Amino acid sequence: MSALLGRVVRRARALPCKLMLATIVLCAIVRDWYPFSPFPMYAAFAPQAWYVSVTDASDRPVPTQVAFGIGAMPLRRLFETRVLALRAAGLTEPQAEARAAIDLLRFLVAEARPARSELAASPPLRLWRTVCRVEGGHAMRSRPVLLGELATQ
Amino acid sequence: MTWPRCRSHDPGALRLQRLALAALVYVRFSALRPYSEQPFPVGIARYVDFSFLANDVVAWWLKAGLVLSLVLYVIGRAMPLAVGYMLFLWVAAGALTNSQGALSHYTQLVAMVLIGQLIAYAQWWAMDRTSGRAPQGMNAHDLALYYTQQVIAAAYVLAGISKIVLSRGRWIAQVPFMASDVLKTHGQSFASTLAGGVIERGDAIAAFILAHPDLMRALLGCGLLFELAAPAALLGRTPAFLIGIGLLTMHAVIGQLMLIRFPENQVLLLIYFIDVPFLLVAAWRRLLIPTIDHARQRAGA
Repeated sequence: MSALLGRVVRRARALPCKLMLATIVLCAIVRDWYPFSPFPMYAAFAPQAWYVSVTDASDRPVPTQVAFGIGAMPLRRLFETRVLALRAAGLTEPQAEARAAIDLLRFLVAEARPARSELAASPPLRLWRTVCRVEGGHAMRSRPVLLGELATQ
Repeated sequence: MTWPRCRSHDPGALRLQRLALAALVYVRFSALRPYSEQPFPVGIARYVDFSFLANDVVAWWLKAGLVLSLVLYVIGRAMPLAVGYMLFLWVAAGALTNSQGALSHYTQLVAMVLIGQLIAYAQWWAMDRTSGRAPQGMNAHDLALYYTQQVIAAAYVLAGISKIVLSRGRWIAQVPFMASDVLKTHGQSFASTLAGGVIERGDAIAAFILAHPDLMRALLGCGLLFELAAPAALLGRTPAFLIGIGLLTMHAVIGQLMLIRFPENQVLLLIYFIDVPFLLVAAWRRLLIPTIDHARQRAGA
């Protein structure tokens, strides 16, 4: 057994580019375990995608980068993670989405940079979902659907 | 224990590489948001609470330490310590940012490069203590460069393999569906800044993709091939340059189509694959030094 192990170690030492091979194997095993990753960005495309956006009470769009210092790109994942956590806690999907929308808007206001941004400090704020899809050779987006509203604090 | 083998490089180019990486780490670290808590901890953040970065006083001292370690790193002193500290702060800030419920992939490659460099400098330091003199013409910075290129190559191979595995081998066939993601990312861009014309731009690109699916398959298929061929960059300076140009072009195309940019990865490619520091040093030696010598000779005559 020890002779076999010794032979494996000797062979491994003789391999070229050991660090590259070790990195590939490690990241493939641990997946997205920060700071390691198999870099799965856009590893599969689907005919449907969606994103979320923020408006004020009059349904005027609120620019999230300007208001909160957070771009709209991570908002969808921030929302999805909260939905999944609430679903795991036993809520139904509509309940989880409504709660997650409020949690996300509260998070944006709390973490806004600059902290006293006028836009961020003036709820009510609303979170909307827009679905984009490819159908019949055309790409189209749906009308935004209201997910939830953070009332005046 | 035997000394690891790798090619030796111009010391001036290696120092410029360290200066460029130090600048990248400083600029991007400063841009990472110090969130006040980590509600959905990922990876190492499950074991360490990095929200201490949101404390202004602590953050000031930690950043002062970062500046010191970057200076040490550039001048090539106390390297395991300097790189170790850079890695700690980078991972802390990256883990905190990614523990808000949205995992992104902007900071991982720099973290993995720093891990590779830490292994190189620690290995060199250990060998230096146990195995006597290093082979002629080789030093720890050469080994750090070699390990860095290996880590970057691994990351791109992983990205290529992920595309094949997660799409079940249908990534090229699925490329036209990218049109829905183009609408999404342009919608997100508009929602971020309300910049005029973004929605219309997304609509036009999505329509182009659907009108020319095979052209898009060929274009993005080239990017996938460059990702899978990244290990060829380890064969020498010219293959590294060509692979680097290919991957940088892939990033540029994705940036134009989807408004998704990976500045950290692009800068790493410029430093370690395309090797801009070497090109600058070579240009300095071939163009400017003869000109200066010639001017001196004329002044002397």
